[in-house]
Amino acid sequence: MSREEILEKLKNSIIDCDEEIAKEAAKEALEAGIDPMDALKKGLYIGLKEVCKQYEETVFIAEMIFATDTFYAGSNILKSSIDPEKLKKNRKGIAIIGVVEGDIHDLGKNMVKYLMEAEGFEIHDLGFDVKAERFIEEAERYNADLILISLMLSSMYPQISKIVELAKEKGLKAKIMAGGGPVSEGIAQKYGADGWALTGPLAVEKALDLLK
Amino acid sequence: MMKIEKLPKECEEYMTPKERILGLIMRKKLDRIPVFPFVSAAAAQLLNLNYGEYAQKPDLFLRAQIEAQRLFGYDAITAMPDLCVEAQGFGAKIIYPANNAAYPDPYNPVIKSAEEYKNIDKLFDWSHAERMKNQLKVVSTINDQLPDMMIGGMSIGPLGLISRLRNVNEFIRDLIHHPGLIHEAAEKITDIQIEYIEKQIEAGAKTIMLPVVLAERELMSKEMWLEFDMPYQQRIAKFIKRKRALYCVHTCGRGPYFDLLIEHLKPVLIQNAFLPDGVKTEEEMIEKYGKKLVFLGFLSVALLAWSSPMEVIAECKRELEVFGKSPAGYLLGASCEYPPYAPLYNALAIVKAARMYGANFKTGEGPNYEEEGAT
Repeated sequence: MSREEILEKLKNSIIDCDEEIAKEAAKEALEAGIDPMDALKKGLYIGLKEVCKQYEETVFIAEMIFATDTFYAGSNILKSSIDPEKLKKNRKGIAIIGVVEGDIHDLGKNMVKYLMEAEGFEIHDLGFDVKAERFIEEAERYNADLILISLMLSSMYPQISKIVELAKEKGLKAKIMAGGGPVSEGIAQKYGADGWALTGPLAVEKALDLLK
Repeated sequence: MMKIEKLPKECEEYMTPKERILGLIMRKKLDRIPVFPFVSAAAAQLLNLNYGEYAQKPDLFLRAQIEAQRLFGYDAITAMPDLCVEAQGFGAKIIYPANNAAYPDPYNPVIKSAEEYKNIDKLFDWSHAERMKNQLKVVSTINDQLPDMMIGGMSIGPLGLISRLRNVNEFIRDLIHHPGLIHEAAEKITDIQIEYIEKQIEAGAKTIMLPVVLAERELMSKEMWLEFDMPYQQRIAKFIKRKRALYCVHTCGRGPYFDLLIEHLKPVLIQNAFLPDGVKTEEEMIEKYGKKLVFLGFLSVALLAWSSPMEVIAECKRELEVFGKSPAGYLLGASCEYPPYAPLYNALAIVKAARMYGANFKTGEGPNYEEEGAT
């Protein structure tokens, strides 16, 4: 199989959400001597971007989860052969992500996490029901570029401003994004976040935009 | 946001809540538009209870529900403290936070592997389904004490329940990796939920509300909903209609599939928080679906939680102007459960708005029907 055919196979494995093919193609890429970073970026990643483009048209949350599961299946094999220094060099940024205190809805948070990781961010997932102080501690610890706040309950809006205020007090460099079911651009602005996005794929674009 | 300078007089009421809601559906002239702010857990505030206490003490829950209705004067009660009532009957460990709605322990799901779906029905036993039994008592007592009220029962629906017994992320993966097992589980759970709904109707529930939150663009394709959720929701819908209760559905995510819900479930009423799939404006929603079902809403929970009563009244007035003449009818209310932490004066504001701006209401005609000088 040629290099192009293997990259195409990697890409299509994501579009078809076929984990077995993704693993097989990742191994073939390594055996064929393709640079694993190239296989990741020009194969798997391209497939994921195509899936994202169709989000809420022909692709929905379930398919996004399968697509990202497939991405992980292939990328874990490829990443094991990439020099950690090279991975670090290609990193787009460091992000802290979590669902705010009092809220346990983590479906949207997980989707953003998967997509951000696939994009090349180093993600530190704090899970759900996370206190504002913990967002800040972890952002400080990892010198994060982004704090991604997820919430599904409108009761938790004030948690956004709490995190924003604490980040200001500590003088953190991190940009703060808020998202989730009830959060609109107006709400994110009102509570002091730097950014907001309607969907997971748009959150990745916004994150990249904020770090320009 | 719209502003109101001077509040008009409130109308004289001469109908009971039940007459008002049934009159809305039967297109009779009403004293005012019916109101449903969906005050459930928020009623805990009236007794200074925290939500954990409230959700675990049915007597207090009941007292708060009855006092809330008497105080605010709205027309319907859907008495369910949270969405984990049925999960408890299947053995889920429920966590009761003091400041928010209860939820099943996410670290210890009842269903730990897809194989366990096969025996899902064996997990359920009425003898330990305390929360479901308590709900039946609540419905029955409200029916006795507030006989003129429109009392609503509720079930979370088959897949909603499965997702609470598993873990929502794993459940979504199971839809693809183990579709047969999901169908098997949904079939069994539907039988149990139908039995529960029947008991609620026997206890006095006049309406049954089912969340159909998977029928939303935000979560699932239309094909997937038709395959996995529709058949079981349809069985439940048919059962409710056979029992002569009003079948209502609730959605709260973006892009609900109104077309499919109407085609396959035929609800009398829909409560939604966002515009339907393929619809860009409220006017388009009315034009496309207004002849087919009663709308309930469209007051956002954020508005109820974070706005002043005057802002709520102004929004009610606006919504009455937009939805008031919807052909099959419009019921003024919240687009989802009244936020438990939201100040209750906004529930009162909705009722006041209905009395001020929704007087002499008739389905398809709006307020001020047959009044001299009415527009």
